[in-house]
Amino acid sequence: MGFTHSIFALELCLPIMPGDPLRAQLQQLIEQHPAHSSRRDKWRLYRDVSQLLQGRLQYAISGCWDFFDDDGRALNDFNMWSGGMTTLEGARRTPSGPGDPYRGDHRYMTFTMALLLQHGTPSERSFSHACNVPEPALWKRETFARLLNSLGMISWASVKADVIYLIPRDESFGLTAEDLRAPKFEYLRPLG
Amino acid sequence: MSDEHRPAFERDVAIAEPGLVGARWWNRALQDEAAAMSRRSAMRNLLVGAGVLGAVAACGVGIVASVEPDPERRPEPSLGAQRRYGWNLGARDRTLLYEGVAVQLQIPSMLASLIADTTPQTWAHLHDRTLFEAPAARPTANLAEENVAFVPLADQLRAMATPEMRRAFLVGASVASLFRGRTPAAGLVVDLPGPEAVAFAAGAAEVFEPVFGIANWPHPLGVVPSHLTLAAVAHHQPDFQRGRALRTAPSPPCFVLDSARLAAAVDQETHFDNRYMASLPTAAALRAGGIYRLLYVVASALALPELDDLNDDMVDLVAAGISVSALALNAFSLGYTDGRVYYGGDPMTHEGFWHHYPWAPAAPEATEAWQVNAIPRTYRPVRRTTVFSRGAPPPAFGQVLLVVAGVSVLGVAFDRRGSWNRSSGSWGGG
Repeated sequence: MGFTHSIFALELCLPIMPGDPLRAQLQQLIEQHPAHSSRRDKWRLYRDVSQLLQGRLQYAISGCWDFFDDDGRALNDFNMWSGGMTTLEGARRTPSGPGDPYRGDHRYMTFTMALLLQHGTPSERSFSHACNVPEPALWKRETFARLLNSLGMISWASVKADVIYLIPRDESFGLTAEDLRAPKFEYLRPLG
Repeated sequence: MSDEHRPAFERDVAIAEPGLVGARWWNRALQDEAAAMSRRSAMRNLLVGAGVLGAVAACGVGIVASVEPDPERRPEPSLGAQRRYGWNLGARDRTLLYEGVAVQLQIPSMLASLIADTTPQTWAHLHDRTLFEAPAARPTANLAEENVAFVPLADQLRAMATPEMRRAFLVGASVASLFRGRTPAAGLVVDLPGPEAVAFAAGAAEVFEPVFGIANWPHPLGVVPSHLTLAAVAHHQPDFQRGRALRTAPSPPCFVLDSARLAAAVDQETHFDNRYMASLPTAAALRAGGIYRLLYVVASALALPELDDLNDDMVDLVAAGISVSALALNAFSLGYTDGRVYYGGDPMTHEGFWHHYPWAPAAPEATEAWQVNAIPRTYRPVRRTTVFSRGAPPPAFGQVLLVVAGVSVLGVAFDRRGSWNRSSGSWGGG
C-alpha cells in the first residue's frame, strides 16, 4: 500500500443573475489556471474561488459537501467527481436559452471542486477538524462559508490531485429548474 | 526557486464545452511518492511471503525460496494489447487532446451506427473496420497494477473540425464533381493526415465509396493521433450517410489512409507505438470491381514518392497493368466568388483536369491549367528498398513494452505510476 487518502468535495448551485459577473469570473479562473502550476498558484486559485463563492452564498439555492478519510472511499469518490466532469454528466447538450428571471424562469450554474488529500498530514488533520460539523448544521450556508474559508489552511504539498468545474461554460447553456429536478442532481441539498 | 513556486501540479484533463468548463491536476511528486511506497510495501510482502514459503520448504515440501522474479519488459503487438487491456492501457488517468473545434457528440446515439455508416457496400471486402471498433470496445483483462476504472473511448470521443479538414472536404467534393457522370474506371487512394483524409473522403462520398484502411486504435500517448481521425469521422458522419444514400452502386472506391501511420521512431518508454502498415488491394481485386486506374492523393508534390509501406504494392500494381498517377491537394484552390475550390483555381481550368488525366473527355470549353500539379500528374512509382519492403515491419514497430513479473502482467513500461519505476536503480527518472 502507498499512503492513504482523504477527500474533500464541495458543490454549490447558484442562479445566473443578469449582469452578475460571477459565472464569467469563475470560468476565467479555471481557464487561466496554468497547465503546470505551483503550490502557490493553487493556493491563490482556491482563495479566489473561495472569495467569489462566499460573496454569493446568500443566493446559493443548493449544494453539497463531503469529507471522507477512508482511503477506498476517497479514491472512488475522487474518480466519481472527476467523472462528473469528464463525462459531462450534469452539463446540457443543447442551449437552454437566456431564460426570463423576472418571470421566474431562472438559469442556474453549479461550481464543483474536489481535492484528493494525503491522509494524516498536519494540514489534512486540521482541515478534517474544520469538517467536523454537527448534523443539523450540515447544509447551512454558514457551514459552506466556514469550509470555503478553511480551504486556506490546506497545504498544497499534501494535495495529490484536484478537480474543479463549472456548469455551464456558455451562459446560453445554463441549467433550468427542470434540469435540476433530474435524478442526477438529487445529491444537491437545499441550503438553509 | 522555492518549492512553493516550483510547478508541482500537472493538468491532465481540460474540458471547455459549451455546457461545462473544468480541469484536473495531479501533484506529480505525491504520485511518485505513492508509487514508491506501494513498491516498498510490495517488496515487504514478498519478503514475508518468501519467509513463509521458506518455512514450508524447510518441512521438506521442496518449494523454491525465490517466489517472484524481477519485472521484465516483454514486447507485444500494440493493437492486441489494446484489445485485451483496453484502448488506453497504462494511461487510463490521461485524456485525449483535440485540435480545432472539438465538441461533444451532438447525437451520441449516432456512435452506435458508426460501423454501419462507414462500411462500404461495393468494396466491403477491402475495408478495415479496426478504427471503428475502438469506441465501444471493452478490455477482457486488467493489468495487475491498474487502479483506475476503465472508461470506453466513446466517452472521450468528440466531433472535431479544423480549417485543414474544411479545405480537404472542399477538394474531395471538387474531385467528385469532376468524376460525376463519367466512368474513367478509376479509384482514389487518399493518403493525407487522418482527419484530412476523412474530410476528403466525406467531400467525395456522393461519387466515391469510402473504404477505410486505418488499422490502429487511439491511445492517449499514441504516436499516431488516430483519435483525431475518429473525431473527424464523427464530425463527417452525416456526410457519409448522405453520400451512401446518393451514390449509385457499384461505386468507385476511395481508399482512406492516414499518412501519420508510420510516424518517426518511437521511444517505447514514454509513448505508445500505435503505428501500423497500410497496403493496397491487388490488381485482380481492383479489376474485379472495374477499376483499372488509381489516383494517389497527397497534400503536395513534397509528399511524393508514396510512403514506404505502399511502394511494393504500387509497383506491383503498375506491373500488373493498373495505371497509377498522383494528384496533389494543392492543385485545387478557391475560386473567386462561390466558396468552392477548382482544379487550377478557376471554373475555366477545372475541367482541364481531364487534359492532365486523359481518362475521360473534358468539357469543350476547358482551359488547361498547365502549371498546375505538374510533378504529381507525371509521377510513376519506382521500386526502392525500405525498412518496410516485402511487407515486413522493422523490429519493435507497432509494439508495446509490457512489464511482466512471472505470469503477472503488471503494466506498461511508459506508465510512470507503475511500481517498477521505483524498484530498479538501473531505470532512470523515477
